Amino acid sequence: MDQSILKKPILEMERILELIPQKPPFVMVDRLLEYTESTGKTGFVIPKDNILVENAVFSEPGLIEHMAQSMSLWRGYQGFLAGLEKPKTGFIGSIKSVEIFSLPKAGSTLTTYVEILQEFKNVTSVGARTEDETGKILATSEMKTVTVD
Amino acid sequence: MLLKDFYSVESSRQEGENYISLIKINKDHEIYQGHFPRRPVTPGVILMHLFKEDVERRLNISLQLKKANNVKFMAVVDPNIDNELFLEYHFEHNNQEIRLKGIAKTSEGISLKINAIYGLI
Repeated sequence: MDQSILKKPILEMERILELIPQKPPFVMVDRLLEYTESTGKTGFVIPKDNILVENAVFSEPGLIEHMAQSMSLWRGYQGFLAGLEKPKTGFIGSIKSVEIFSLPKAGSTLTTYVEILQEFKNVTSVGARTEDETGKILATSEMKTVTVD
Repeated sequence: MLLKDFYSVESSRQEGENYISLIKINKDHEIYQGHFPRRPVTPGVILMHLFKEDVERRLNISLQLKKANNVKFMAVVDPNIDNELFLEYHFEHNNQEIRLKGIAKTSEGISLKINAIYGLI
């Protein structure tokens, strides 16, 4: 795999919010750890008061949205490198498959690996895998995202 | 419900093996402040979740989404254009899981197709 282009991880929320189209209270990713031309590594510390937390557990929509926003963050950084001033709006067009093995507790840290499988015009196919702090896989998915603007 | 005050169930009925529920979305819900500023789009993951909550209510059980395949978002659900959504689905049920196939539609047409497997918890 290519080496990450990022010199250091992007951990500042302010900076993350410049790279993704989603805004609070619907932000489900908070760091970009690695970036290559076709892969990304992201993370999220699940706030206890996150809107998609229920009974102290991050819900299925939360986990899937986190994977989608991880892709969004990858794309946002790609746009930044290309000189775009603000991220394009993008959303999920289809989910080929998603599998959820277990739901993380609020307060825990997610690490997600995204891989760009194909890009055609404004549609991107992406694979994602989310792990907990111990490296246990919580969920995997393959989806297509669509950008507009 | 996962999201407080996000929607209400206006009607709920069964026709043979098919279940039909009419959902009314609260267009002023705070999620639209973030998804997206100046362009309200109901998040696809939230639309998917409506099916789970609807089955939970009907059967009075708790479920967890295990798998979903070929989920297609055919049209954006902007609650300012149309905030009424029909969920139509059928499912198979055993002691461990529920396999559901469904669509969500507005007066404009089909907005979502879903195939999902939920585990009973």
